[in-house]
Amino acid sequence: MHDIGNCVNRTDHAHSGAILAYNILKDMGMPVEERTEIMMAIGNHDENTGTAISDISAALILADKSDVHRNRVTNTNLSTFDIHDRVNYAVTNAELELNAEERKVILNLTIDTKLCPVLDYFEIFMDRTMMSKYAAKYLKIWFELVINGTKLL
Amino acid sequence: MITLQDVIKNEEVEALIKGAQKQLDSLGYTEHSHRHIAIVSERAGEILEKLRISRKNRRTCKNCRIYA
Repeated sequence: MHDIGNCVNRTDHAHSGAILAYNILKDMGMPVEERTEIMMAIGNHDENTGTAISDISAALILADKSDVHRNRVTNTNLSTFDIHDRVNYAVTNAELELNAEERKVILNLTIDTKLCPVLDYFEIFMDRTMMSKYAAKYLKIWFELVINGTKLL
Repeated sequence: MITLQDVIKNEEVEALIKGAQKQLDSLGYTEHSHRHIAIVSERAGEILEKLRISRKNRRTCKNCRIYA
């Protein structure tokens, strides 16, 4: 439910979504300590205003920013793709690998570079990538980014 | 105790998810609906469980999936 704030406005959706979630969970009977924790996590998941401030907020950030994939593109007209459509469309495989032994999370992407250069990925995802890096740091684990078999972070 | 299924079946949550995607569609954004939510929920829970984030307990891992 972390993105329900987009029902209010895309801008500051993390904040509005946090309050919406808090109230829904209150109505459902969740204890105040738990729903407060959830509100904080949702309120901090957007790269423009948030950062990892708890274990669950860090996990949300890593999970949210890992979902880049062709299946996210809703625009069916390739000729009108913007950069977000193009980058997501070019990602044909995205896996978030967890290595408990080495304490790391690896975002492993396959990008069809005939559709989109890797640089375009960083053009729109640099902030999210850095947010993931710091979220992992909060959890005391490593974050690695692998694109087409090459470790980039 | 609230479960992930309780949240999934909540009509208000469902209406907000649909409303959110409707707004994002008109703005030309990518998918932020059930597919994205399911993936984020699963991955967030797995991060805390499989990496055994020691400060946290089972309740937190469960809540992680709920909010995601």
